[in-house]
Parts: sequence; C-alpha cells; structure tokens
Amino acid sequence: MSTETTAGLKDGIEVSGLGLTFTPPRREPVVALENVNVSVAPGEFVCVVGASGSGKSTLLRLMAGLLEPTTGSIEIGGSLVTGPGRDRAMVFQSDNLLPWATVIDNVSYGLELAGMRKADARAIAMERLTAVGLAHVAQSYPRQLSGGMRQRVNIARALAVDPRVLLLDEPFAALDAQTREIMSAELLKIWSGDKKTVVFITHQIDEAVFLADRVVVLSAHPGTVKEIVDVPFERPRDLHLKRSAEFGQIVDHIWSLIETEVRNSLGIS
Amino acid sequence: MSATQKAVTRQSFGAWLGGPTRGASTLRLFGSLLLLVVIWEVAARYLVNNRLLIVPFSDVMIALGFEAQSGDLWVNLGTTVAELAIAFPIAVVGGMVIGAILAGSKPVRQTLDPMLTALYSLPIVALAPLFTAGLGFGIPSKVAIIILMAIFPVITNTDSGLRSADPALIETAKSFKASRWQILRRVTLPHSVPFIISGIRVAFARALVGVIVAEFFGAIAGFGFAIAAAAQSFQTGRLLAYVVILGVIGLLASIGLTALERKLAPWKED
Repeated sequence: MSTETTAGLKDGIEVSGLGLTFTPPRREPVVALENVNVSVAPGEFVCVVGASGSGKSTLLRLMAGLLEPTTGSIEIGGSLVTGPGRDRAMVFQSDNLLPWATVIDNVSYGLELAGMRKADARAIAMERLTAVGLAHVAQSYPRQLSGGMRQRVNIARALAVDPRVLLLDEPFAALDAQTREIMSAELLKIWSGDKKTVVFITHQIDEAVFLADRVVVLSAHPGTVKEIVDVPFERPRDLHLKRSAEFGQIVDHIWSLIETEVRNSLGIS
Repeated sequence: MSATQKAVTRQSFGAWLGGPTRGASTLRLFGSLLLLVVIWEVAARYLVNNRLLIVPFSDVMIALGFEAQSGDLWVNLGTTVAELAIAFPIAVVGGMVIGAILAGSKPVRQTLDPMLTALYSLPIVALAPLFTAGLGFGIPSKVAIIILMAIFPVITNTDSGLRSADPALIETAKSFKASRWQILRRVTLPHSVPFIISGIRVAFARALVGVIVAEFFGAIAGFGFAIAAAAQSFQTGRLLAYVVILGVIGLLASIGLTALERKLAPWKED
C-alpha cells in the first residue's frame, strides 16, 4: 500500500491559484484563466468541459508547459512545471503528424527527440502500433490514412514515450460521431492497461462523462472552475452505459452548469 | 476481335497511358516530343516558307550532324555546360544559405527585402554587356551572370519554405521538448524541401537564359556564341540545332529535378 502511494504521488497533478492573462500589443488584456484550483490524483482520468472561451485548451497548454502562467502554479509529481517535459505527452485536436514521415517514423518521433537510437525507437513504436491495431500501415504516409486512423497514430505517438501524464486536447473533435464513440471506448481500453494520469479536454459532455472519473466544469470570461462533478460508474465501461438513466442525469447536470454561457456566447438569452 | 472488345482494349490503353507507371510516363514524354517534331516538320515544309525564320526539323538534324562532325558542337556544349556546372551550384548553395539567414532573422529579412525584390525583378541580363566588359570574354563573366540570375528564386523559396511550416507541428515538437535544432531538422527543413526544389527549377530556367544572353555579348565559345554566329551568317538550321540541344538540356534538368523531388519529398507523391 505504501509503495503504491509513493509511486502514485509521482504522477499526480496539483493546479493551484492558476491564472493566465494575455496582453496583446495595443489592446486590452484578456483574462483567459483565473484562480483555477484542480487536483488530479495519480492514475485518475479527468475530463475538462466548458463553453468556448472558458480556457480549456489554455489550461491544458499550461499543464504541457507550452504556456507560462501569470499567477499560480502547476506541480506534476511534486515538481513545478516550468516548460515542456518528458513526463508528459500531448495529443492535439488536429493529428499534427509529420506529413513527410511514415506512420512508424511518426510514432517513434517523440522517442527520437528524446535522444533514443532510431532502431530502438522504431521497435517501441512498432509495439505501440501493434497495440492500437495499426501495424499494417506502419510504412504508409499519414495522408493515406483516414482521420480516425491518423488520430490513433497520434495517440500511439504520445503513448510511445511512456509519459506519466497524458494530455489530450479535444482529440476526437474532428471525427464523425460514430468514429468518436468507438475511439473513446478504445481510449478507455488502452488507458485501463497502465492507468496513466489523464487530462482530457472536450466540449462533448457525454464523452466527458463516459470517459472520466471526475469532470471539471469551467465557466467562461474569465475561465475558472465552476464545479467538479464525480462520475461514479464502475469500470470497465462500455458504450451501453451512455443509454442509462444515471448517465443522462449527470450529463443533464453538467449541461445545466454551462448552458447559460453557451447561450450568452451565441447572443441568445 | 469484336467491336466491344476493341472498345474495351482502347479504353484500358487510355487508362494505362494516364496512369502512374514508368512505361506510361516514358511513352507520354516521347509521344509529346514526337508530336512537336511532326508539327514543326509540317509547319516548316507546308505552312511557313520563310527559310530564315524556320527550317524543317529534318534539316536541323542534318545541321546538327555537321556541327557534331566538325567538333564545334562539343566545344560549345563543353563551354556552356562548364559555365553552368561552376555557377549553378554556387547559386543554389548561396541562395539556400542567404534564404536561411533571412528566415532566421526578421530584422535582416525586413531590411534586405526591398533590395532583394528590386534585384529579383530586374532583368539582370541587361547587365551582360557590363560583365563582358569588366570580366572579359571568358568563363568568369558568364559565371557571374548565371549566379545573379539563378540565386534569387532559391533565396525567396528557401526563405518562404523555412518560414511556412505548420505552427501546430512546431508546437507538437515543443510538447516533446524538442530543441531549436531538432525543430529545424525534423520539421522546418523537411517542410521546405519542395519549396527549395521548385526554386531550383525556376533558377535553372533563368540560368539558361543568363548564360545564352551573356554569350551573345561576347564569348570565345558556347551555345550563345554559336547561336549569335549562326544568326549573323543566316544559318537558320545551325542556329536551331543549338536551340534544340538547349531544349534537351532544359528537359533533362526538369526530369532530374522531378526525380530529385520524388526522392527527397516522397510524401508529396500521389
């Protein structure tokens, strides 16, 4: 038990008093995030939802170290985030695969950037591709794959570096409804293997509830935490869960939290 | 063979000819050249009577045979090719280096941009007489003109290629903690390869114009020299023979660059 706690502590995320204000030249400063406090337990799957302008993607980029906060801090495994790090891997909304590299080279990309020898990196990449069922397209170029396959390659690339924390920024937003359902179930299957700490941004409330242990609901202008909703469903979960009454209640509750803001952003009262 | 069978055969041949095979593209190339030769021959024999303007392709080939026999063809070819072989790599490498410097520094780029635009749009061949006067009738004056003609498209395309990489790909590299050098080597450079190659393509066309015009204005040998000499003695066949060889050089360069692009940028292929 004690070893588990120690090992686990390393992968937790502690966001405290986090704020980010953009100051564009010759314009009014924009407060993207203000006083955000979130604590993600090791191995926990947390989804972040919110209306547009709530700063969900900004929060994730801060965790990735791609942006610097104006106030507050983020600690991962007890150490302060000051920039990108090899303990984290990010999956972006657009697949962001290198068009000039084959699928296998795209998956080994992160490992090679970390200084691993090409042959070793490829061996690991091949394992990851096999795990996501894409070994047969290893030598193809990204443009030869469907959107869903490219996004699986993107996830395989992030998993290949074996990060302690996986950060996903609306990874299925560009996919059609059926594909994203299957993909979210696949993601859970992959995650259940080694239970990394996951922060998953989405604007799809049912996706968030299906995936997460807890859903962080952000309010907009400025972006701050409105409520953190517990999702009590047992795992493993399958897509039938989405048709249950309890599932609908939680989705409804989250929707009621952000509905006003979505309406406001559309100019509907 | 029945009519339907014939139709099917013909259709599949059309599909094959439009296809990506090496055989089909070779046939397309030679078919296209043959068509040009036939049009030329027919136009010169039956449509245009002005023998100073055009002579039939077959007569041009005879003139080319004489040039080859006398050895003039080889001297001129050797001279022009040598001038290109010295100057063109300098233009390409120099253009890439200058382009990379421009892409790397915004103040440098913004300061030099008006100058480069002015020089790029200037008809540099207009300086040919000056170079001949200053550097003589030999190879150096031609090398100078070729470099000046060819360098600008390489500079421009290298600069824009290096600066137009998808910011999302750069952000992804950063999320993997890539260094500046790694981003250059893994993202920015591969992205700019097709840009640089199309710059080289334009540069070679300009280099050919440059070398010929430079040789017009004073040379000891070379294609431009031979063409000017043939024109002064109204030897249209001989003149066109050199033009045909120039066309072949241009075509070979284009094929070579396409092959290079396929090798360096295979992801662009369909």
